[in-house]
Amino acid sequence: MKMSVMSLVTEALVSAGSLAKDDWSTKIDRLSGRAYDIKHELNDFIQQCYGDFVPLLTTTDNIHVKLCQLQADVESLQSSFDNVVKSQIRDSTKEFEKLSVEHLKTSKLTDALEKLYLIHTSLEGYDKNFKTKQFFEASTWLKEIGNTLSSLEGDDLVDTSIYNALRTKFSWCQQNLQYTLDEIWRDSIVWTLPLDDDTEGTGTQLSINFVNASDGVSGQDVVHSLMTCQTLSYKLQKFAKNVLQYLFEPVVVSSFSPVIKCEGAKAVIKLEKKICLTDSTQEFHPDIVFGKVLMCLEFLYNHLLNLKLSPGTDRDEVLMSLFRKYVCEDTIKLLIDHCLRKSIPNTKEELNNYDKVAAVVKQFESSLQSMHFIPEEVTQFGGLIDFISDIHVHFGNQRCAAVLSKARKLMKMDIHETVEITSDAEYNDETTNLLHSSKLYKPSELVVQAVTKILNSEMSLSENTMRLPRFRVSKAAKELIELAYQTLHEATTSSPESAMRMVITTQDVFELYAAVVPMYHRESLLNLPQVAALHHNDCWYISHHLLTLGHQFSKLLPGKSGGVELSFAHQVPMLRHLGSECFLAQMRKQRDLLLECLAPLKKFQSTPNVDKYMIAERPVKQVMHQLHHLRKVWSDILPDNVLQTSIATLVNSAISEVVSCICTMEDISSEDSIQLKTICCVLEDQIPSLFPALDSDDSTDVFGKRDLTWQRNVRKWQRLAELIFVLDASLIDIVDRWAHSKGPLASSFTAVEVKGLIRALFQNTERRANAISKIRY
Amino acid sequence: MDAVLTTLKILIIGDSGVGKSSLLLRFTDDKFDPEQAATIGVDFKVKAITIDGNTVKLAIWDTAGQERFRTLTPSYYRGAQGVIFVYDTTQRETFTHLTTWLTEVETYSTKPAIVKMLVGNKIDKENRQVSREEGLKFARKHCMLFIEASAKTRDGVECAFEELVEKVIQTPGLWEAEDGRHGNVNIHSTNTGGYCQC
Repeated sequence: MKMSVMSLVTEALVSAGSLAKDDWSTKIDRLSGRAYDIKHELNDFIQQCYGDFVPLLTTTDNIHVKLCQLQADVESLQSSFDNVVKSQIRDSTKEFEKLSVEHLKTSKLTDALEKLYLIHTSLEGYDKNFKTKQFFEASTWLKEIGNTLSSLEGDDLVDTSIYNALRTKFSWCQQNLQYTLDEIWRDSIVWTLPLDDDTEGTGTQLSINFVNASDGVSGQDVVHSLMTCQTLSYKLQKFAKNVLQYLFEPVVVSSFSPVIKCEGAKAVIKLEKKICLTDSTQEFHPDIVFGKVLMCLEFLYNHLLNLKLSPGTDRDEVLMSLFRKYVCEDTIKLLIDHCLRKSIPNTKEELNNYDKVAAVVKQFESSLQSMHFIPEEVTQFGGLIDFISDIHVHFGNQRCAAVLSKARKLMKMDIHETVEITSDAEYNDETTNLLHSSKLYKPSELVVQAVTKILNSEMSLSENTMRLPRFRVSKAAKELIELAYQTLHEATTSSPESAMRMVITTQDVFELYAAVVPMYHRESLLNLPQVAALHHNDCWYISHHLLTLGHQFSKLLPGKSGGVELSFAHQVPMLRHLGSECFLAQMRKQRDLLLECLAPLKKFQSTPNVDKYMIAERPVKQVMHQLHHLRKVWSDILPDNVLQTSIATLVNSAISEVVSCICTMEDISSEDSIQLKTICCVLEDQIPSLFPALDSDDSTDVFGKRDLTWQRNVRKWQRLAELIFVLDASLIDIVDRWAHSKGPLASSFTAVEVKGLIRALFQNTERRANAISKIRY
Repeated sequence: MDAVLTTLKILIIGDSGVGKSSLLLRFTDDKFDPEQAATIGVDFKVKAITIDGNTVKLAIWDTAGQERFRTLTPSYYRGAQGVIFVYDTTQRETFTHLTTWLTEVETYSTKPAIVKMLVGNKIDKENRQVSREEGLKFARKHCMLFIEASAKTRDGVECAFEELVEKVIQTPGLWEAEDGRHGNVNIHSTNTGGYCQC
């Protein structure tokens, strides 16, 4: 099957191949023809190109040669040009420069010469004017010369002799003019000052006269020329200083008065001391002083200071405007310090009348303005008006300072000058009147009302709340409280600002008290029990008032401060602490003294028999004496309860010392025990007399024996009583009194102490051992 | 004397003039003084008393009735196991005033179970103002023992003290605890035992 397929293909191929062979030969023939054609064309083309090229090349070469020749010609021309023309230009430029420099020099010289000429003519003009005493023109000339000379500065001409000569001439003229003007000024304005040692009261004299001194030269001319010479301000400054020192100061500070005399062109002002008939306070009244100052100023203005500064201009700048620069501030200060400050009112009434002074000040100020002493454009100048409008503040300051100084004076007063405070009257008449007048509540009423309001029921405080017990305070403390009330009362009618100041000042008063009194009275507070007690009372008394002082005035204060709850209570702890500390220190001192007295008791056992009683008795007597003395000193001063507690505390210390002294004794003979008992009995007998009944209407009351409440404060009293018992008791009695720690002995002594006492008092026997064994809890 | 069971602290309180000191004098010394002076501060007496074979020592504190003679209030209440309130049957205000004294005892007493005895004194007198029933009612209300007595005639005096002591001893914790606290176990344990057997 395979064979058959192959043959089939071959067959097909063979037939196809014969066909293709025929086709190829025709194609080749055609291609050969086309190649020939192309060869022919190419030959034509090459022939054509090369045939034209050669003549073109030849032409181009020729042109190139011609160009090169032309270039060489141009270059040679350029170089010849460079060589010849350039050198010629350099020379001519140099010449031109030289010429222009010379020209400049020449013109400068001409200029300078012109200036020199100008100077020369100016000098001539000056000379002329100077000789005719036209000083202003003369000075103008000089000014011009000066300007010209200074413009020549740095010039070559400076080295020339003509310049130097002119310069010398100029300064000579300048000084000449200056000197002349100085002389005129000096001769025109003449100060006659009082001698240092002159007490006669002749004052300063100032005369102003331009006419005589300078042969008809007007003052105006002098001023102008001085102005032009720029020496006016210096002169005026000196003048102003003199005015302030020798004119204003004597007028304001001392009682000099100005007297003015005018004789033709000469005007003289003279200060005279007047022997015044009125009192000195009137003499320094602003009205009078301002009048005097105004008079001086008017004199100065009329005769000198109204001269114009520079001529020609319409602006009326006068001498005054320069003058005021030097004195205005100082004058105002002088017036405020020495006149207005003295006029600050001391009382409310004076303050209300102060409008008069204000009017005077306003008028004074407007007068000053019209004289240009105060510039018009400034409305609030100087502070005179300011001072007046702040008068409430100044018044307040002065009042507060006065209050503080008064308070300080009170604090320095002796503490031992006393006033009695009774339980009935809270205030003395003066304060009560004050209170009535201002509808103040009494503190007690105030508190009772407040508490009743809080409780809002039938419950109310007793009338005795806030009452003081009877006691004494120093007069100074009472007056201090009165001062505080007065100050606050005054605050209620003052302006809000000063009211607040016064409240603060009141607080300051008490701060001051706490600071000043303990320091100033330190010695007496430490050494005098009476003074210490008084100071204690003072502090508590002041605190008592401070508690309610704020509430009483809170609603009455004016302005914003009226609503503020005022309180002085924050100062109460400070003051109470101050008083307590002082008194406690005194108590400690007294206790130490008592213990010192009792010290010899410790030697009781080591002393020979004979002196024993003496040794034991003396200290006890001393202690009782000391205690009696203290009671006497304090009894009138301290409130009863404080007196009793204080004495009781000291008694306690004394008893405690005596008892513990005896308890520590190791051996007490029966004789000793009798002696010890005796001294204890002395104490027991005499101590009650230190405590008289509080309500001693009972005339039969033997001191302290009818009322034993004082014993509650003397905690050691029972100890003394039990010791007395033990010193004279049998063993059985002691054991019974101990009563298995149920008896009174056990409530005052410890078992150890009782055992110790038994051992000291009784001989060592079986009975004693038995008894001791029963002293237990 | 040696077999003392314990020592009891007894107080006598009441208004001035009701006869506190007279009651004490009658009890301790069997005496009566019509002119008895006012007590100043505090008076103290010791007496041994035997009840049901137990001997007890009494430390009796007689306090001043008058306010101005009273001194150390807290210290005489301290540790007291029995208190005798005395009023005068012929003076009503001394009876009405008892509440004040009760308040004071409650304020200062250190023992909550303190035994209280109410004594109406002076029953020998004629113008009686407080009846026995009233006294009894008051005593019941405040859990007190009650007796009427006369220091002058000796009526009820001894009985008052004996009943009080009996009650104190019967009250648990009022006296044993305190003694135990301070040791001395031997004596007290035997004595306590003795008491219990009774």
